[in-house]
Amino acid sequence: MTAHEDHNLAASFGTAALKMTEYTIEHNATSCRVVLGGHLTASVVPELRTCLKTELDRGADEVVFDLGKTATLDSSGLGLLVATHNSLAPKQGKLRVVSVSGDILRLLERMRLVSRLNVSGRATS
Amino acid sequence: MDDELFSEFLNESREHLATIEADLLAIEEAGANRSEELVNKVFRAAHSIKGGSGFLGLTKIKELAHKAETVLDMLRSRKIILNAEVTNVLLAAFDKLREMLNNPSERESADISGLLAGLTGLASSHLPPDQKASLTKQVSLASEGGERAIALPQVDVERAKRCGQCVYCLHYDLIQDVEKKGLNVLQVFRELGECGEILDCVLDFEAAGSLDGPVGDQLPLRLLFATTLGPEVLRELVLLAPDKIQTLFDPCDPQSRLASPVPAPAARAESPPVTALPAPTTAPPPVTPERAMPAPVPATPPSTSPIPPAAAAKTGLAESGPGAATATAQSAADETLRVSVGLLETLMNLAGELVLSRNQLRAAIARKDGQSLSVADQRFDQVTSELQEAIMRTRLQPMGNVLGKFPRVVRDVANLLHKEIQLDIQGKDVALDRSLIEGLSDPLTHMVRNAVDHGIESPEERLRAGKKAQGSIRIEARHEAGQVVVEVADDGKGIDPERVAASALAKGLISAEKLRGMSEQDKILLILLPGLSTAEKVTDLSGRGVGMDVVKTNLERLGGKIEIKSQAGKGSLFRIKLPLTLAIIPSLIVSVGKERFAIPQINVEELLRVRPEEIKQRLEVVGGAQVLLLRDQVIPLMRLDAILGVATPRLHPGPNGQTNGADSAAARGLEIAVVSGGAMRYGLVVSSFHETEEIVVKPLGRDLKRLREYAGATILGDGTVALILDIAGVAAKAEFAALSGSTRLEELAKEAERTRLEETQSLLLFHNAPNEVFAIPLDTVLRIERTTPDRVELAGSRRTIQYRGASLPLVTLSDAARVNPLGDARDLAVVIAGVAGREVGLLGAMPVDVVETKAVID
Repeated sequence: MTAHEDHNLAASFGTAALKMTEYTIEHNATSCRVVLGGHLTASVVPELRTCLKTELDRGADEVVFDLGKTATLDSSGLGLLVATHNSLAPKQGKLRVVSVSGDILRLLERMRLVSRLNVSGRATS
Repeated sequence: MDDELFSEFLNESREHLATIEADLLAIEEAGANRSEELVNKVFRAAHSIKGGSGFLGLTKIKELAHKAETVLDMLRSRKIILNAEVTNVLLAAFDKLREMLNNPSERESADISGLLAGLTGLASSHLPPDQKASLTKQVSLASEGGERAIALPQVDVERAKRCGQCVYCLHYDLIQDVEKKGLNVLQVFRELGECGEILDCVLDFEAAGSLDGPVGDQLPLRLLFATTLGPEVLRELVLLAPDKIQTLFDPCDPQSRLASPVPAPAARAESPPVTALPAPTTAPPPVTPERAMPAPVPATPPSTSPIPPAAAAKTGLAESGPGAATATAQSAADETLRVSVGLLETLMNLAGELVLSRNQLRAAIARKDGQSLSVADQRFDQVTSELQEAIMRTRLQPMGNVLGKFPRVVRDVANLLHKEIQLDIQGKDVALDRSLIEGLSDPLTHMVRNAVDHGIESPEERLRAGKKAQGSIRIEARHEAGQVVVEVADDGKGIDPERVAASALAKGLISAEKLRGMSEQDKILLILLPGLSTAEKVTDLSGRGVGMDVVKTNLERLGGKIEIKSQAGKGSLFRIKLPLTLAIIPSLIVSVGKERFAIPQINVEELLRVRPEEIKQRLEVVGGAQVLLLRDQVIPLMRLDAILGVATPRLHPGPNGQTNGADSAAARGLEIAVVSGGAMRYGLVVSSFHETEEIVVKPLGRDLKRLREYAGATILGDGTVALILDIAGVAAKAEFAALSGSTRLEELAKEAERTRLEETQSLLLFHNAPNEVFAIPLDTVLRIERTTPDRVELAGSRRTIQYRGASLPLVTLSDAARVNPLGDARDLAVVIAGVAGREVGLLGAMPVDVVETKAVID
């Protein structure tokens, strides 16, 4: 039992450590900023989802996704953005997706999500 | 209802609606950098439709247009930002308007409550964004089995029809159909984008759940997709189960237009309604192998169609043959023209003449016979002129086509406002180019409506002002100096320049400093600014301050000008001047350096040459800018070479080492074209004038289009290319804004006057009554003589003095001004001045003195 727990713990720490390179979360009392690495995909979503939930439970009512370095976004990633939006909506919170460019920006535009998800492009350019 | 009037309104409205979609989308895309002109354009479209439908009694259309206008007005004043939701609502509203206009049965029966609510919601900005979105969607396409509907603008279907595209509704689940199949959503969208157009896309937010639940395993997305690919090919491309591809429109199969593949009842039962929040704990619907496998398209009876027939009819999707036929007929009507057989015969004969002339020319060239060549040339010249004239005639239409609607317009509007108005229309036979007639319709309507609404007072007011109870409006069209002049005059209350100015100031359209320097005429011209309105009440007809703005913009596009004359209490006169045609315009060819430019004759007021010796008197530099003294006026002067950056050979430096730009020309004089465009009038210095030519206007290429100083290009007789100057654009480039230009002029004139007055003056001081000193400019004084009171002779009330053997009349200041009399001074001075060729003595007292002063003389 203990061994098993340890194993799980180690595994989860392991993944957490691995995933930490995929994104960083900066936060203060009421807002948090998720700076993503190369991907916002199924590989990081479950982890990030838990982290975000913790942030929201702690009282954050603004979440900023910084996709400045992100090259791929998949359905799960989209789902996470939408789920975050849905969780923030009842508490009048605010979601912003910033520094979006290239294919991802075009995708969000085509999906008519730019204004619903508060998407803004790269600050410089 | 007057059919002609009505069809005129329909045509105008269709024209307005045609570009609205693209314009709104462009505004949305541009975000904060949007073009104000475009915003105004969209707003004016709504305004025009509102006004027209208002007096035609189309209440529903009016209501909808009015609401849309309100939202656009807020957009214009930046109270609302044009994001996707706002665009959707507005597009849906305009689609509905288009539908109501095109479909008589819809005009009164259409259900616009949803749209009105949506627009009101936008205007009050109280609705949360989600609701706004749903409002839009619901009205555009009927809701489909409880799921959120997708807006499908009529225009998209029309476009798809034209391009032979099919329109599909694709039901994706981004998790199951994309991610679980190892696909990437980016790639899916890229592929779709490559082979068609995504018309609309709705992601089901609720289905994605929130962070509280486990990672959602469905993310339904509905996509409207227009493509030339057939259903089978599309199925291969999107890798979706057939029940998830719904064909909304297939040009190859008119029967399939609505009913074709719909989700089979069984399949639908499997997928939960997407509007319901997925219970986080319940297992998601399993993806059955059957669903993933391609299955034959189920032939579903119409009753199970997800779009109820009634709703389908509303969207216009169910309309097949007749609707399409009407649309084609309409566009065909716009592209065809009735030409009398006689005129066609003339054209044919002239074509024959042209061939003969060519043969003659060829023969003359072959023979190298100068005599025959010049005969052929003459013949060519004649045939060309006749041909040009005949072809022009095919495009000419009588003004009656547009003027004919005004009796009705005036009567209806007057009735509505309880005014009595007599309308006098002159010049219905004046012919004008077709495109100009069409372009003139809108501005004229606005002007006439304004005249009725704002110009003419109510009968009571008129009687109080001592006028006849019945007001009168005169519309006149005539040819004048190769132009068409259209005047709209009323005998109403006129335009109060101060009220216009106050309104412009209150709306922040102009600064207080600028206003101070403005003449009354300038202030009246302020009504041409976008967003200005002096009407206290916003009415159906006018009063949002778009009217005159529309007029100006439209006229400028037609190459026309507008003049406004108004006298408070007496009435106003609006005069439009238009060229006869837009394709061939008489122009003055000028050259600057080695380049030649064409100035449309309509802009040229006069040509003048300032001789070298006159340059100093006629040209002044005031406030760093050159001005030209033209008779009693001061007008700005610009050097075309400097504005356009054309190199000109400079001759000698100026005689006085002047560096004010007039130097090189000082030796040979200046050639100045006095031009006017819009509210701007200025002198343009060119190197030399050439002949006046009828030039054929060629549009500028895409890269040059943004240069506002050129209106186009032309090829001159010798084969060289000349750019056509846009006089207003040139002024703008030289940073003389239209209205502020005239303000600046006044400043310049005032400054010139001040400088003159501030110049050092020599004054002669003399005494009148004791302790009262007066001054007279020394340059008016001829001589000063000392005298004593006993030498002054009195004859009645006139005083004279013997001076150089003649009798010199004397005056004192107390004769003319209310000053103390001279008193009994013993030592008198007679200041002798020349007045109207005679010498007159001004009697004063000694001592006299001369001072040099910089006195500012009031």
